[in-house]
Amino acid sequence: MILQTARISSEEKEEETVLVVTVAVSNKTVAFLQEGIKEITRSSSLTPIPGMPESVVGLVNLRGEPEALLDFRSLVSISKEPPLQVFQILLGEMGELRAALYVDEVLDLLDVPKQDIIPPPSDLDENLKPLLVGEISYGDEKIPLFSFSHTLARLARRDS
Amino acid sequence: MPAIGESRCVNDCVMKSVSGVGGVTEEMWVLFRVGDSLFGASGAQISQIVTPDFSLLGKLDSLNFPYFLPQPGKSPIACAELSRILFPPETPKVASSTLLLLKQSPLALLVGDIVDVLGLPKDELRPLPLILRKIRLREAICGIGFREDRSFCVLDLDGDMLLSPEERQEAERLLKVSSPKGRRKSHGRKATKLS
Repeated sequence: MILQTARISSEEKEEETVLVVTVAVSNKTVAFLQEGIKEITRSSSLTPIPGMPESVVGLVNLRGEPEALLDFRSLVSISKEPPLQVFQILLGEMGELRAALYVDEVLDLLDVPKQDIIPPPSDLDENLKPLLVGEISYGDEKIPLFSFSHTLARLARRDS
Repeated sequence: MPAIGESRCVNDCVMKSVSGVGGVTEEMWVLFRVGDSLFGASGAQISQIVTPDFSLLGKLDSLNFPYFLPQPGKSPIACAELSRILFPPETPKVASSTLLLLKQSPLALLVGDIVDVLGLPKDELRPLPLILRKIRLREAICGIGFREDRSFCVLDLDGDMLLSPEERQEAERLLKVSSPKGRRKSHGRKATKLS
């Protein structure tokens, strides 16, 4: 009986998963923890803001409210391609601040077992440590897994 | 004196529109392009919209004010390129075809084409998102408006953020030098080069 309980507990532990959103941006595939993402939507109206810093792509119209569209590529050394005509956004909230991340396309929403997440390398850049959760397998490749809320918060601190 | 270009008086248009809706709640907004971007400004800040013949504009030796608009019987107007004010210097030069003459000062802004003149209650403008509260030109942006599904930044053309008091003074100085009276006064000094 004791052994059986131990086995169930072990199976439960194995099944502990996190929801992950995989996205394509500038010909790279990366993943974000779904936690903190309020909405995923498609947009084609991008308004550049004069004087905007490198980490802001512009404004998008989301049901009549302008939302700041932030660019995480500036944080993680992904080369910056011009925004696509039609793109997708991941909207998040941090208290009273709302902002969205620009991505070219959302690829998948996956349930990833926690044990499948490879921890980030120990010699990771200090700036990236709070953002990078680890790596996951996606198709034939390993892709970085970022914390959405930490990434958005870092970009918001840069611009506010 | 040949005509400088076609012009339209925005304030007549504003007055007609305001009386047309039977109140003063609706304001007219002039929508114009700068490069690929759409911007707006209150019609109350613009005295005229001019599509100039560029060959008839005077040239000033100034990065901020590359042209002046001669006006028969009146003082000339210094013209600034709005794209140079709004976007970083490394931004590729964009085509300008239209002059917005400001009501409050003898200045004009060169912009792309006029897209629309839109009646919109001021309270329908949305504020800039909080997250952008510290961007460089924050104070120059009155709000965000929407036309169809596209948003545009509404600019305060009279404020000190687009053109600083120093830049306005520079325009006055350049125009003094460019006027015949000013040229006589500047005899013997290094005059601003005109071509």
